Amino acid sequence: MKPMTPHQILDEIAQEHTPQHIHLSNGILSQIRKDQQKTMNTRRTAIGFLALAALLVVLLNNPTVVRAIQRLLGYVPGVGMVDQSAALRMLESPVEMKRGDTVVKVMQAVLDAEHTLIDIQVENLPAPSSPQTAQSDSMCHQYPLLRLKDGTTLRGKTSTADFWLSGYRRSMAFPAIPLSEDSAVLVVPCLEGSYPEADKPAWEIPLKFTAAPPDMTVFPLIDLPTPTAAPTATPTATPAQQTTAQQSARIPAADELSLTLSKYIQTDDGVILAGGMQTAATDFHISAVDSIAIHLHDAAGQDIPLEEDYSLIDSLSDEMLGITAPIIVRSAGSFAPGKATLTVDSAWVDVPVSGVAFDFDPGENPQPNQTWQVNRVVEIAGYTIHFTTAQMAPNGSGLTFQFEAPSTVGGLVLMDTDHKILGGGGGPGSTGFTYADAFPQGVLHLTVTGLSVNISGGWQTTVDLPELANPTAPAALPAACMTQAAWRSALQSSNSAIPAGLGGTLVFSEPLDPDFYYWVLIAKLDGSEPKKIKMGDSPTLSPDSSRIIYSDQTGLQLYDLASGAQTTLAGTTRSDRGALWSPDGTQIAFTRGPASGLIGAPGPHSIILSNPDGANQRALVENSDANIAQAWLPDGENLVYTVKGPAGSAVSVINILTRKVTPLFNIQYVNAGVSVSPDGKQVTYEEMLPGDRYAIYVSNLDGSNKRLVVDSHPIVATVPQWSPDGRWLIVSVHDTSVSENHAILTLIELDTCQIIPLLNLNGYVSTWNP
Amino acid sequence: MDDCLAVHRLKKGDMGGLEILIARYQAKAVRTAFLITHDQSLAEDVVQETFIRIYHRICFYDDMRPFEPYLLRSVVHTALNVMEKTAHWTSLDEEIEPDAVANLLQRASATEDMVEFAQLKEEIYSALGKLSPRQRQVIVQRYYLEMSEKEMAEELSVAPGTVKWLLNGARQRLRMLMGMEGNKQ
Repeated sequence: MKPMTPHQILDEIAQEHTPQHIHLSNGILSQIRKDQQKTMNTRRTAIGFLALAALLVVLLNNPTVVRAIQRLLGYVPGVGMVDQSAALRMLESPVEMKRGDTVVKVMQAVLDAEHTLIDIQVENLPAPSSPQTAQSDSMCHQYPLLRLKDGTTLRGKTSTADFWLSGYRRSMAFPAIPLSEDSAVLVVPCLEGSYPEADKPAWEIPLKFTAAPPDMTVFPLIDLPTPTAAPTATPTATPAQQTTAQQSARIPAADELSLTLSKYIQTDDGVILAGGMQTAATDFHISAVDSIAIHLHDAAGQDIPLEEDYSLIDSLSDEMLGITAPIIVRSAGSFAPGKATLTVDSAWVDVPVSGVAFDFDPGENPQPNQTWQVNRVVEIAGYTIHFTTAQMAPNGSGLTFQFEAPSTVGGLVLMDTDHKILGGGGGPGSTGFTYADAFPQGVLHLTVTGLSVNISGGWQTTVDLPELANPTAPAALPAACMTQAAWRSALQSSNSAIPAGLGGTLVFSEPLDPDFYYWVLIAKLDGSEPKKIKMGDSPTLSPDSSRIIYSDQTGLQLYDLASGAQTTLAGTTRSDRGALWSPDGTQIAFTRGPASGLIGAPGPHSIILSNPDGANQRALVENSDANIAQAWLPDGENLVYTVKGPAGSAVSVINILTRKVTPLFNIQYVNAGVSVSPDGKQVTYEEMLPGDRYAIYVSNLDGSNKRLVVDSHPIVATVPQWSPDGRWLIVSVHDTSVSENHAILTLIELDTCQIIPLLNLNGYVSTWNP
Repeated sequence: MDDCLAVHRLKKGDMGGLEILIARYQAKAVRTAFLITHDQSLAEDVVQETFIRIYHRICFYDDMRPFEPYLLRSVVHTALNVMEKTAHWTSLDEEIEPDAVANLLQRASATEDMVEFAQLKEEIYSALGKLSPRQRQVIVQRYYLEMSEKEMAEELSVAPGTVKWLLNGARQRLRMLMGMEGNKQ
């Protein structure tokens, strides 16, 4: 045999003990979507919610009336759960340290019996001193440490962080500091995302702790009483879900699951509800609840936006015994006091399956990577599963089967029970396993041993919501032009023709199959005359529709549509993005990132003016902020730009002649894009609504007369642009029930709210010329 | 699509970029995690957690850097954190040191005899299981991720010479600190 390197040996050892077919994507993406509430109508969405299922209504008494038990745990806004079994301590006063423009602030610290919770904010991250510095393999990814008087160093865990290019905020949880210690040093080895340099020492910030004042806001964690109804222990599966005598897969009935609220925290501006799904049955497992399946309706019947808060799960896990699919949600926005109803539409359950098997003959000499047509249909508890193909693992140690199933099947477990299996698993559409020993000879007898299905339940529980102590909580939103229902209706409407007289040329970018590189594209509004220009993004079309400037890996590119000639704008790099043509086409404005040349690199961002060929470059806005050029006003003398910050984006306008800056308004979304109407009187922009729902607004230039145009959660609409006549918007709609990877360009008429999906056009529009 | 573009897509909020990276690297990441956790399902949890962490910090990721080593080093760190949280991982009555595993690896990589190779491989697997997770981390970084001692020293925030010490003497020192073998150093 040929000798192997230590790497190859270790790799072989690891391969022998791990499955060859690993499918983590679904789990990771699902978790991220849960974390971020960035749900885009995942495949798991139970669109056809069946309210016919048995309804378990668990009536709870008013927690403000019943004898609430104040536990030792309490909630400090912005910090999290704290243990009050010992006196709390806190930072004597906020501390900050400066080096040049860069500031490191310790905003808050709370010390309890178990933790030292510290909130750090870094502003005005420094740019790397040279591109060489930035390109070295040295970007800082180290977390801060705490150093005690005796030199002991405490390492912490991080729970949350926010980034806005020019800075970030991070929450850290360190181990408890002994009561005898009233000080510590926060050691920040380097600033995250920056490039540590040898001559720059760590930031060492002295912290002084003191007893928390008696009136420090700590909201009690309140036990809710035991639900008045418990889940039934006796299976009551419906006959339709039973399989034949030989086949067994019991899909639980809805009344075998219950929704429980066990904890409650009332804050000044809302409530946090903690509970989850549970069951007394032991022959299935409740694995998860999709965030879009959770709803809270207040006493007035209003749908209250919810934000899941998984940062509290660790703190509350001991408090929610018996719950296998936890739900921790906080209200976002105002609500009517009184009895509210929490509803869970559906839940994912894993059930064992037996007696469902089929034979598979891989032939006499199966080869690694060989593919077989299987074409086998099995019925499991009313679900039709069609196994389409099988493929042998590249190293010949196992098999993966592709299958088609209803969207309510999240996955299944397929095993060869006649032979020793090392492991297996899968997700929607595929399942597989790896043999512990050599691939067996002969016909294989394969058995489905488990199934993950989404069952509808409409489980409900009620809770009395209190009067809000904070009267400034956001009011209920008006209805938007485009809601989820309006979008669905538009998709099914036969009246989706583009109105006569509406036309023009679109320039847009789109990640194209099969490699999903971004390409610059141009087409007429009706999809005619489509043309792939070049690989790149952020394209904009000159006012005379003759030239496009776009960004790629080497810099800004000028492309002449008539000749096809392309030139790189001199003096630009890949850190230069988003060129905007002035209304007369004589100059461009673009955003320049830090000298690292990295896309989206942290640090200051400047706005540069130049001629369209890149000549005569001069900085229009240059400071330590993350400034992003957004749009010209029609007068050609003023440019709208945004500054990213911890609270979102600040919109301003700058006069390019006088450099006078006029602040306009703020958007609570750090990545908001802004587009100016053709008459210069209005803007449209992206916003993040309570509950992390993407929205699109139109307002006057100064932010007044704000109108909600799109609120279609969980459908996500982004990147609005104006039509040349200012009557329509074109937006990019992500609806995974239509396309997993492509955004559908969609027209919205502002006066009538008519919605026209352009199903033949995908991508993100940056220019719409007449 | 190269990693750089996948990261670029992800930075723009396009989850398709993450899916590509997961599909491309999940198997190797799980194998890396397994070498430290010695538990398949825990290894998968570690990789899941690592990808989620990368997603949340992607805006600060330098997309000029190669993604694979960044990912695998992150997996190593996460695996170590998970193992140190769960504890109960090692028995001090075994006479296994990281250098013993290194020696076994050298022997296995020198042999051309299949039977001897198979035996050595078993011994390596068994020996890895007797190391602490931190010692496994050192082995994985040095011999699986093929990091230099200088790179390891930077990762571990120690002086380069300390890496040798970690490879050779960590366990002995631990035993001595616990008073289990007095003068053995």
